Amino acid sequence: MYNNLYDILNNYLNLVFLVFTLTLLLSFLVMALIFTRVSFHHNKVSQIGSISKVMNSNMAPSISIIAPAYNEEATIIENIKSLLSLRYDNYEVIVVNDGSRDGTLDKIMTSFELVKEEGIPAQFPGKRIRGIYKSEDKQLDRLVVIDKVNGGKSDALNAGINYSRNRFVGCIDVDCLLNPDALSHVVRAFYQEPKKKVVAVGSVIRVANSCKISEGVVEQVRLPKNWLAKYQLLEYTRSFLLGRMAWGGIDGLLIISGAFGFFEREVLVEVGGYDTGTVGEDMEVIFKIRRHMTEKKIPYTLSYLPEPLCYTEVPEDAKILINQRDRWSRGNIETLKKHKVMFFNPRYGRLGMLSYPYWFFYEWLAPLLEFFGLFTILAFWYAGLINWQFFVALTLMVYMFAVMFSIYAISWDLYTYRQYTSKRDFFSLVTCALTEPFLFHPLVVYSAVRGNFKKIFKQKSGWGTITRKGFSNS
Amino acid sequence: MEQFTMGTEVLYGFAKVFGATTLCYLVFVFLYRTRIVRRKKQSAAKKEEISQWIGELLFFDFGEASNREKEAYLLKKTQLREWIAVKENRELLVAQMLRLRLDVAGEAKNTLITLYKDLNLHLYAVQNLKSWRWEIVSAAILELTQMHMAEAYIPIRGFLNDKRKVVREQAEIAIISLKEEGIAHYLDTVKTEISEWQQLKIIEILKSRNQFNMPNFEKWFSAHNSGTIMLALRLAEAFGQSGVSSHLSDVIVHKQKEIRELGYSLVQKFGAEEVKPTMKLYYWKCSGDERLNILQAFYSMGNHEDVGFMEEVYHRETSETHLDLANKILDKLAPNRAKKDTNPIREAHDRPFEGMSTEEKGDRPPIKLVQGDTMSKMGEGTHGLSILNTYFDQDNFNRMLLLDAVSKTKDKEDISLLRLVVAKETNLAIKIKALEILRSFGINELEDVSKTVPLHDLIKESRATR
Repeated sequence: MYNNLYDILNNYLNLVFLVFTLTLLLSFLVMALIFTRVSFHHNKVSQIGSISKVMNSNMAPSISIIAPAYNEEATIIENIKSLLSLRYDNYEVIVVNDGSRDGTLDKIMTSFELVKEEGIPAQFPGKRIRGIYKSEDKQLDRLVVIDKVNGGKSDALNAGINYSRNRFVGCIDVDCLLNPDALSHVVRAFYQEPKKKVVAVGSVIRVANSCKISEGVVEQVRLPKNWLAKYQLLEYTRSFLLGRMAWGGIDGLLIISGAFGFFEREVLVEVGGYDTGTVGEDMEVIFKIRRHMTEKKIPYTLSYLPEPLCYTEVPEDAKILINQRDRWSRGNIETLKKHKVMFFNPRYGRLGMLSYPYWFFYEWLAPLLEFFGLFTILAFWYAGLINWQFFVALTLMVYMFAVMFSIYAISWDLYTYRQYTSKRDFFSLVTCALTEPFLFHPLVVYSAVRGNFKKIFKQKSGWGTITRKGFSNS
Repeated sequence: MEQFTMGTEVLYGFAKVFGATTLCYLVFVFLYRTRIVRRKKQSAAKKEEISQWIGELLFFDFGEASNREKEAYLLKKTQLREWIAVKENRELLVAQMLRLRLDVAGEAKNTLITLYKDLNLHLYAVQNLKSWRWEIVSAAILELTQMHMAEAYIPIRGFLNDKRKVVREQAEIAIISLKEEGIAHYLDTVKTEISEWQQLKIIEILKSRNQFNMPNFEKWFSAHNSGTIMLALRLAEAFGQSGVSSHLSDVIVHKQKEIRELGYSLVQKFGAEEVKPTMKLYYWKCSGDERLNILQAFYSMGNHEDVGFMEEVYHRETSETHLDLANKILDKLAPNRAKKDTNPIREAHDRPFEGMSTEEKGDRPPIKLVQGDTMSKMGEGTHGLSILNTYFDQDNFNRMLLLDAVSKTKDKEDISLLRLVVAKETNLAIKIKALEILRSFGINELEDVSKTVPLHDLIKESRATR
């Protein structure tokens, strides 16, 4: 009887895992197809015409770039200079010093000769603003610095949104390097839809480690020297370029990276700005905006640009990487929980029926299943109950699929942006694709499990600290 | 376990397929990479050669050259013609010329365009317009536009309402750039929506033109296509066509909000006096945002003739922002008028008494809607007229305050309107409060309240009781 019961259980589990895996692989294939179609079209369109004519027009819309800074003493001046040198006329840079404990504010004050200004009317509450500073130098009149009591990234972004009076606001990480034409691309994306309102624009995030950087601009794109950064580059290419482009292609995107996200300010104000109670504020704000627009029945869309408009430094240290992914995982849980009403809710269309469930099963649940699956396999192996043939076949299939998907991402990246074309880069990336499932992926799974553990057992954990090398050292 | 033996084979099969696909990708990537690198090297060498040729042809002075030099020049041109017979070479040459076009100006630019034409490159581009591939057509239109080939105007015009967005937009830019009458033709014929980005580009192109005899854009203010109206309005604004003022009346009552908003910005910019009567008529029918636009327009261009209207706004308006602005306008237009309270406390005595004679109104003091507890203290001042008459004009906060006031006055005349509140109110908390007040009047059988009673009947009933 026990034998029968075991057989049933074993078959049942195998079937569940098989269906789960096949669905995942199928959805990845569909994503690859959608991405190919969208990317092919976008690539051809971007080769025609230039965007340079409009960026100096006095009719071009005004944009505020909000960059929260916390203990960024080492790189802040270089970063601000980079933000001030974008090729667009009508924009301002709002740097929000979120109660840094190092000399961030002093450095900015000295370098840009800032003087204190009048207060701002708050649209949503937040931590106390200690002062607003602007430069007396006319050449720096587009720089605004808000000094406030520490309240986290969301709170800092909200302070910036409160201050801004421009039509569009860009919420970025201060240490990101933007493409000099980034704002023109963003405006084009906002303005290109005649029938729908484009409420947010995001872009592919690229890895800046080891790139040649001069005057805050990426001059030469190079493959990172550090292997952890290389794996992340591969992962970014796969998820930012392939995954998000595909979701964007069916208007089902549920996240725009916090490193580079632009919004129509009015919509951000309507939804109450960023949620200060989550560490996944970039994802949560998109959920909130989408729910708001759907509930108000306003035709809208989000635009996702494949052009490399933003470069960021990724962690080269495993501990920092785990902390970062742990936070992403917690942010994911918080957001999914907060907006659980969307789960398989036809009222939200493909967001409720497709995007949210995908996010739930494959972004949140999959790492947990992987982790506990490993223990199950060990237990079954110990008990001598494992179906080795099936196990090896399934593992091999998943592995081959993962490698295929990564190589596909590399080939598309090469086809469209031609950034890593040397033989050395190419073989290096292929090696990453072959070894990633064994060397890098377990780290990501472990971080996700840790994040879940912290969340379930209510362990206090905030943003954590990310030590950056700074681009001048890259 | 037998059922999984099949499954295992399938899985191995899948693994093989994925493996084979990976290998294909790898081969593709490798070959493609090699091709890119090779092409890069080849094109770099060719580009250098082309640049030299173009340079020599471009700066060749035919007048001062000797016969031998002229012969060499013609030979070079012939060689170039033969060389561009190969598609790849031609594409390289065009790309180089387009790039060069941005770097040169004046006579050199004209010579470059003449050279382009001399080499019959424009004919190849026109030929490409017949392609079924949108990217080839778009690239050809772009090339012809950038090289100012006015003769391509007619063939490109055919793509104006093309169903392929990229081709259509490229054609729009082309016909506006190539001929002066292009913009009028475009506005006359465009049937599709025009994105804001496209509008911005069109305006920039037209603004960069020297000596441009622009048409009067008001002609398109009544177009069927909302995109045409928006573009015409933006063009009128960009080119400062203040003559459009008299045509803005239709624009500010257009069914599309964005058009109305653009209309108001033009009214303010040009000080369109002609639109004032329409704005006054339209004011009470429009939303809060638009009322603000109208008030802002009166703020910038109002005069003493508008004081009456502003007084009316001041008395009837319920929004604090509008009231403040109305007050500011009144201060500006009639500084010597009797000063009224400008704090958020609002006088609302006219509207509740609409349709009543002055005798009926008597010398009742105004009902005040306040931000605080003042509302509940003012019940005794209503002199028998239900203060709930203004109820449905208020926000939830003020509705609560009104009910507080009613609960204190305990005036039986309020009963019929309280019933109405219970029937129509959507906010549950407020509804419960109204029910409680009704109960305090000893009315418990409230089922009949939900029956449909026309609003005006209840108000009539209330007035008749009085």
